[in-house]
Amino acid sequence: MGFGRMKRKEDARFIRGQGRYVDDVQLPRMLHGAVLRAPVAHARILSIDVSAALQHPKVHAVITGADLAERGMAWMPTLSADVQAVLATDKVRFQGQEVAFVIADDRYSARDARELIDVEYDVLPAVVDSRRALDPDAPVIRDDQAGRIDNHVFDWEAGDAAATEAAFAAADVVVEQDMLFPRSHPAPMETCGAVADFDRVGERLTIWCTTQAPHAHRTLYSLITGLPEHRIRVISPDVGGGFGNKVPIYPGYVCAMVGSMLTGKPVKWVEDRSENLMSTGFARDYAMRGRIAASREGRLLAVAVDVIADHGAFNATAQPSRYPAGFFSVFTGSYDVAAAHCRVTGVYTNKAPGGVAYACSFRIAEAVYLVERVVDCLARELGMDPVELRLKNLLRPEQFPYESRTGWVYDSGDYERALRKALGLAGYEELRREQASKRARGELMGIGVSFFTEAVGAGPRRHMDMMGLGMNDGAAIRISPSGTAQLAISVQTQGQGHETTFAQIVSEELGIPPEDVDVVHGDTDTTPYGLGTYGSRSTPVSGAAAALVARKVRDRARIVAGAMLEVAPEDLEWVRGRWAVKGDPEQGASIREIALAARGPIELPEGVEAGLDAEAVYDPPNLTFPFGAYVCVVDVDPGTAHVKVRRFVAVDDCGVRINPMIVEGQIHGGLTDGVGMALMEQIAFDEDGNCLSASLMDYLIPTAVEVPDWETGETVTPSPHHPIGAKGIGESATVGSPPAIVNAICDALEPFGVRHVDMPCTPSRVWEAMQGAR
Amino acid sequence: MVELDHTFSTGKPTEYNWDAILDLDRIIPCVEGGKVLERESPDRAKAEIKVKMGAMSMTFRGTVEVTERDEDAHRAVLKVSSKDVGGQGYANADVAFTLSDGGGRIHTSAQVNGKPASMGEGVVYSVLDALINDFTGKLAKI
Repeated sequence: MGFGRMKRKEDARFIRGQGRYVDDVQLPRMLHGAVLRAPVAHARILSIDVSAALQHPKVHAVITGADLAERGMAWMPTLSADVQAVLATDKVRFQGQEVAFVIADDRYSARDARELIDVEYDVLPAVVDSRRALDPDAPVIRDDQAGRIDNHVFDWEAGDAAATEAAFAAADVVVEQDMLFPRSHPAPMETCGAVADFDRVGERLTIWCTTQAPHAHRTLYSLITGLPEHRIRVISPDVGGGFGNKVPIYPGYVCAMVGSMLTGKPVKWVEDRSENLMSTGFARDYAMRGRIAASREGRLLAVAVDVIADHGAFNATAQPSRYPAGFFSVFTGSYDVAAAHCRVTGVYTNKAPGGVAYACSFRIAEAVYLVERVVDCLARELGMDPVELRLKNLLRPEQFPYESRTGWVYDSGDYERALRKALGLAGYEELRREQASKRARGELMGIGVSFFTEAVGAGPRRHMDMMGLGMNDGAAIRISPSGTAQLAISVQTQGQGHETTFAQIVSEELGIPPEDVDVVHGDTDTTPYGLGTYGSRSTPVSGAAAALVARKVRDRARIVAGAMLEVAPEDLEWVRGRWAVKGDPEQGASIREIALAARGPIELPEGVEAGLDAEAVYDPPNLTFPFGAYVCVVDVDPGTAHVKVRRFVAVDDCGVRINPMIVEGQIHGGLTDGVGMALMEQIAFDEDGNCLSASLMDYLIPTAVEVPDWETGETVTPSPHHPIGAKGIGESATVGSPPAIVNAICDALEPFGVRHVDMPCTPSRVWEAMQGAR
Repeated sequence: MVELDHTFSTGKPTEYNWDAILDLDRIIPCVEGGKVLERESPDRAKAEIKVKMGAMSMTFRGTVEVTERDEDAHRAVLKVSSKDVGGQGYANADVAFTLSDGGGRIHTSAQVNGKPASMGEGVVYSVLDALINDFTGKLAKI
């Protein structure tokens, strides 16, 4: 009953092959679409000849940008107040950009016919290096925008520049380090896709699509098609991994909708792996210059950072609208710093749009990487153990709630306890001794530590919205007469185990077994409104809504129980899952008994309606701030420079754990992500803007071979403002692990004088660093 | 940009080799999957080549043109400009022949764009390397 370890309810269908994904949707008369994509990164379209494709016997229609322009649909809004081409009309701006859409009887014919389209391009020079995007001679990518003369997207800053510069000027020690958090990709196992079914008579659109945010998608589809929102139904069936990749809408979805409107038949479009890697929401791509100032004794005085943010060809980043650099301004991390300042400049490049995908909590992955790397660089400069430097500067429990120099209010924390626990689990002192003896033998072993503070659960409606939609989430509960429950939630699971976790929340609040709670999600027609799953917001926002709606049920049940037991509701108290008469605990009623009575022939007090159903919307008063301490041990082969992560200890504090097993699973996944980013993942481009990472042979993701046995631990510091004290866990490990691994690598390479290696730390990069510093 | 260097030997006199490499009708079919579509002039031909890259098979169509010719040094450059017929990419190359007695050297600098480039430089390099190696084998018998 309630919180605790239990096996996931959804696993029965997944392990039996009964999961149902978008590509499993089969509708009568359904047609199939394929997208023709730009072969080059930057080119003017001179002509598009679709006549040969239309001659293909199985082709029903071919849609080009010009066709969409006639309907006013050639461009669509992005989540960052920019527009993105659905199908290119004037130019192509990244390799893999959508140019035409072919609709045929089957997927194979659509792809064959796609090759019959003849597009004439005038190839233009491409902007590939974001640090050169603002050069005066850089070609202007977004000449669709009137008056535009450069590739500048935005400038944004946080903190106090003057105070920070003063702190730097007065400091004993200042360390500066350039670093790149490279472009990575969520690469979910299931690629993106949609099935659109437009009913021409009723003017209703049903779309099954891979989405983490069905309700937000519905609003966008309404804006694009002009159909009223209540006649659009978005269904997100099982989703095979999202990691942020399935927050935005993609041109393929829109093409499927237009295709269905045009042909009067359902149209399915599912991208392949290369299309997913080349054209959908990437992550990171922050070129950062970090600076840190400290006293000789190691007291942190100031942190500053300048960032060039590569936003690709269209600014399609998914983040709260007032935060163009996401929550990057939490870059002061877990430390008591007197002054801080950051400046972020966003630029357009000839690369795929996106930017905030991949489990980063709106750029906190970048922020944590920055601060944890510069702290390690500073420790090197001071000749101080990086753990000692951290312990000296971590926020102390009595400082919470803590208002950071950039305006964040951290809710609760006990950082030193978590760090000491991680050091204990790792056997830190012993590891240092082992390292010393290995160094004496010429072996390269490194120990890396990171401490991170996350900020998740966006967010308070007055501060955070997407496209003007406040980031709140609803929950609705229906209690059957037999006392079982259906909980409908606005967030969508992509594998996080919502059907179990949310059932446990209701179970805990109502004293009914989790098996008696079914969770309904992923369908705008059957779930209450809300903004969806990303930024680790399910538990902090929707989980709170689920707890609150269950409490509403409990409050109603009290009134009904009063009528049943013929006592005043105030004379009842909630004890172990039932309403009992104060002073006479034998006299009472469980939710199951009350549910039947609430629908039965009983006289309810004036104004009390039958049944126990309820609805709630949760507006979080603040974000929640999970944290953790990670210790990583690597061995670097002195001959091949191959990095092996030998051990990884992760102590996470995400407040109250609803299902510890699911929490640990999330941490295992995030740590694996971290190994991928630190060691192998990068969406790379050549100088012409050709994407060199469009397959899983080139974009490497970690497997069981590359990861160690994860050693996890926990501390529990509840969130004071969350109804059940939970903070969210989905992205903690992805955020916290890359710096621990890179810190360990740089520690291993200390004998070579290497202070920094950019991710991914492939053998060639590490080897170059070893040679370069000699 | 991918740069490759190869050598070949024919065992025949330089003058013979010189005529052979400049005869587009003879040299283009020496490339595996290559054929002349139309000889536009002595120095220029429309041609196509079918290439297998990993699991992908692509047909490039374009022109081959003799753009440099230095009789004294026995050096000639053939310029290849082509486009995948499926519209998925471009392949351009400058192939420089320098002849000596009984054979010669080939320096290729190729620029591959689009989908084939996305297979990665390693794949592009190894496909081109295999293609040119095979080509040198056929040159030996020209």
